[in-house]
Amino acid sequence: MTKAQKILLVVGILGVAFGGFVLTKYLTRNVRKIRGGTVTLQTFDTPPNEEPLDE
Amino acid sequence: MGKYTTVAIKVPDVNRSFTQGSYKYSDPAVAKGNKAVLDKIYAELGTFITKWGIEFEVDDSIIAGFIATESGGKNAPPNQYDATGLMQVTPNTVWEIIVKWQVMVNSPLSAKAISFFNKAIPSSKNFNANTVPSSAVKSEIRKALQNNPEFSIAIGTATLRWLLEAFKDGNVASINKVMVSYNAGYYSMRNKVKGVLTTQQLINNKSIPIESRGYLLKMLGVNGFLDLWFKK
Repeated sequence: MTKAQKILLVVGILGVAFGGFVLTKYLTRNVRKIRGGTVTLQTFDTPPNEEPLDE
Repeated sequence: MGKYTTVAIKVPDVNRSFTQGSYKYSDPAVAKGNKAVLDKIYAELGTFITKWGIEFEVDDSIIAGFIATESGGKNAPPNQYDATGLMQVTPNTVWEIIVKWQVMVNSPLSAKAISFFNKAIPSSKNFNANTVPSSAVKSEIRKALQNNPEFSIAIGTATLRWLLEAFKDGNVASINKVMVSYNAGYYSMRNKVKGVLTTQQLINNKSIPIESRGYLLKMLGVNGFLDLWFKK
């Protein structure tokens, strides 16, 4: 393996690692750690249903 | 990694808000009032909430939300079900939590918790899983729940952990089932909430008392106490 190939390999590995980190951060952007677990914060596009519950 | 089962919560979990007559959690004035209740609870009781939340690995948001839903942070006298204190726990539940902790949670109560419970209820040293609490013991527990806010929070948080372990699905505990059972009672709910169930499925299940289904909306609905907490 030439020196240039070694550099490319290292750059590639670092790129994949960084990309994975960024993707994980993006996918878990609404997830927060709380004591004893996690909470995922959600939003809805429509107003909430305000109907009273049925007996 | 903690010693207990982890919990994964979605907030809000359903696109629905609690409504009773003209009283609506979606009303901005009601939401503001409920947020003020949460803030007051945490300002006055945050030390106890955090202390026992760390002990039983339950987040402050969940404990404060239960206090807000159960009592609004007011130390109410016993209701028709004998539930009293900030977290509206009954003497029978206190007995159950202590004597069946090891069986349900699969991990012993810490020395710190045992020592605190023994101090708050001296007779708890003699609690026995093979008997039922006498009226004198119930009276002792009732007094502790009413007069000792830290005990009320400690045993309420222990109850939450006990129920989280009772309702774990694999490696994750189900907070929605805990909410229903905290309100309606573990033994009456355990067979009605078997398997993996969404909060929406529990809300639609009419075999669960309407008050308990409303409890889910008060905690996990839009502008419910957990929603208000995390909007901070």
